[in-house]
Amino acid sequence: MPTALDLFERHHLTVFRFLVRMGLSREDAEDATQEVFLRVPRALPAYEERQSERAWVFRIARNVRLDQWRAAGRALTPEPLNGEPAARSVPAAERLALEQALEQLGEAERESFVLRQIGGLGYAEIAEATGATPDAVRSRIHRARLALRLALGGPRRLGRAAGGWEG
Amino acid sequence: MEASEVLSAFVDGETVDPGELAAALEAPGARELLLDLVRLRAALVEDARPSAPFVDQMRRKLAERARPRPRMLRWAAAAAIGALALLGARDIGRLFRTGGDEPPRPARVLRYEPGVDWHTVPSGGPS
Repeated sequence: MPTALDLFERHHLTVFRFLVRMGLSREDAEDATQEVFLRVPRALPAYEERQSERAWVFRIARNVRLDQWRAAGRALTPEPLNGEPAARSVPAAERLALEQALEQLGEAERESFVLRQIGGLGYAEIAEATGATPDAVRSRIHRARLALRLALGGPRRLGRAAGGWEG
Repeated sequence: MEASEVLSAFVDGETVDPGELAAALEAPGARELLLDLVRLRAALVEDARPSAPFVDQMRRKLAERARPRPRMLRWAAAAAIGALALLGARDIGRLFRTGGDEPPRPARVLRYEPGVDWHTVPSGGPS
């Protein structure tokens, strides 16, 4: 059975990025990441080897985030992407549109999409972490992608920007 | 499943039916959609990192929690002593406990036979 430290080493980066992408500031995301890995030792006795380790950790991360979300009265302020190397390679207008589109996604769509995109979880793992079915996860991610694509101007604009994403 | 949903799952590396994928790729706008999905994925890469002091602090905390702590051992020893004291007190209580209003049961009964264990002596003393 892995220790809490093993799990921290393997997953803290993706958990932190998931929390940032789900709207927490860096500071709040660090606090939440700490809470996730302090909850891990208490939850470890219930961990079963047959479970996906990543899905299990993300289920805790999801619960921590939901607790913070409730405690904050659902008024979390998303952290701007400015200053990140990946964000700098995307033109400012597209970056802003992308951020807004992400914020406007429904909670379930955004969560599944971010777990896939940032956490790298497969559909079955996302289903395990969120309690949804893999089919529902596939549909949510699909809807999220179409909404993001639409928010960014749809096929024509993205086609025009084909050479412009790298700035 | 919609053609765009098949392509979305395909981009994610999920298992898709080859026949459905072939049909999805033949659908109008499939090429543009596929390229857009790949570009979206590249545009949404997240590079944020927690601060180094935070990571160091967490490593120390979790390593410390994994070790048995002397304070916990002290509590365990105190609990064991308490349990022994309780057991001892219960046994001492048993020694003094009686069954309600009943007199205590005799542990040994002594019987004396007249003429054997004692002799009647007429008044005035033995002759």
